[in-house]
Amino acid sequence: MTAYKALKGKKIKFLASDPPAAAGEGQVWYNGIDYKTSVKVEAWAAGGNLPAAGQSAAGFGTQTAAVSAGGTPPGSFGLKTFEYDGSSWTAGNNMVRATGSPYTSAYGSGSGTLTAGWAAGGGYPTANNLVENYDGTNWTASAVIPATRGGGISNGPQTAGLYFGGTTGAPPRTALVNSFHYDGEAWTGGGSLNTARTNAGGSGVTGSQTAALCFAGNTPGQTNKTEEYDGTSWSEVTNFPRTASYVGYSGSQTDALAFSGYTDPGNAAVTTTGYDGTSWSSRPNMAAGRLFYHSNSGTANNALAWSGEGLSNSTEEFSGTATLKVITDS
Amino acid sequence: MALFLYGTATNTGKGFFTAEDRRNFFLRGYTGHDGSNLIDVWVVGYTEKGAVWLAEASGTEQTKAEAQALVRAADTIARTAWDNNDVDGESSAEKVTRLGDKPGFITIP
Repeated sequence: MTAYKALKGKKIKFLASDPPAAAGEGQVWYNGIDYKTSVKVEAWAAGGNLPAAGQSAAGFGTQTAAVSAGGTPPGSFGLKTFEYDGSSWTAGNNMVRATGSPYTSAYGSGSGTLTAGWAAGGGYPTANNLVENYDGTNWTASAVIPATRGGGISNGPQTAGLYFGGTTGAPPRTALVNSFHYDGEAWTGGGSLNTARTNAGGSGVTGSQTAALCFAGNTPGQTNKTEEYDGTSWSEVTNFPRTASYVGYSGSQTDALAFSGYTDPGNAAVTTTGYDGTSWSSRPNMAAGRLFYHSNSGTANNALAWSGEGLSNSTEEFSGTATLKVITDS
Repeated sequence: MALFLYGTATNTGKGFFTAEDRRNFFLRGYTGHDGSNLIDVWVVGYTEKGAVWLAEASGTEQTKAEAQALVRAADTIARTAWDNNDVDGESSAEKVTRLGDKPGFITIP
């Protein structure tokens, strides 16, 4: 350990007792018996299966209190809501948007929490501008997005949300740059993305109206461009490591997780990548590759992903847990 | 020496594979089809822990060729379903918007 000071320029701290693992992450100390550190241990694990295989539901909430709203196929998903408790999915009350097209609830996105969530846009063959708020039991129709949108991202809490990107939802489905701010009851215009895109990844439920992230997506071709939002304007930052679309996402502008999606059209990757606000880094792979239409929720350390192509009634949970380790010289 | 085990086992949901399993051995899941039903196909790291996991999952070991054939069968069904899933008046680009790109053929490792 005498080399530690030479390498790091400082001595190893003496701590009479170990700090909590999360607080000690990245530090080294001596507790009178062992030299110790704390490292983050990460992996994906199986979660509870959905009642049916499907895709394109709007997801929000946490890893242990999540909501899957709408999706396809219409018979199994349609206007249906499913809630996840960390182990299993149970059916909730249906969304309230009017039927018409059986795909009216598909391809939307959601954000917020299980008891204060929101879902916006989506629909096929013509996208809608419908917005609904969820209170943990019932859906309530809210103010519509100022324009029809499919394939955009809902981000942040119900009372300070942000919706960005997507398409008009009608042929020729041109990718768009617009952002809209949502206060739970009404919408106002926000800044414009530098790269118009749909089917992108971004910050989700833990993003905010003043700190959002957008990466990858279709322009219509796949892009690796990444942008950050400060509440007023979008700025380009470090590119996502691969051109991709339909990537799953969770976390915030400074601690985000991106997973799976299409790198090559028609073939889903299992790749997981983290973002710390500056750079992207490789993280443990998922077990099954999927195509995501916003069927994801949680944080960068506790993410939840479900449905999509692949083993498509399955759920996977990502956990990053700080763990104390004894340092040995072997 | 082989790098992987191949097998089929039904994903039973929570706890079917754990974070510790994922750290202990390679695991990748694919959708297969056995001629009657969809079936979960697993590629597992060829280690003691991987073999124990497949056994405890009540898995059925397959050869790589058998596993690949199951996945190919599911891919073929998915591609045919994609081809046959048409809406009157819908362009090919619109179809991609609705369904995503036509599924490709997956080659397992």
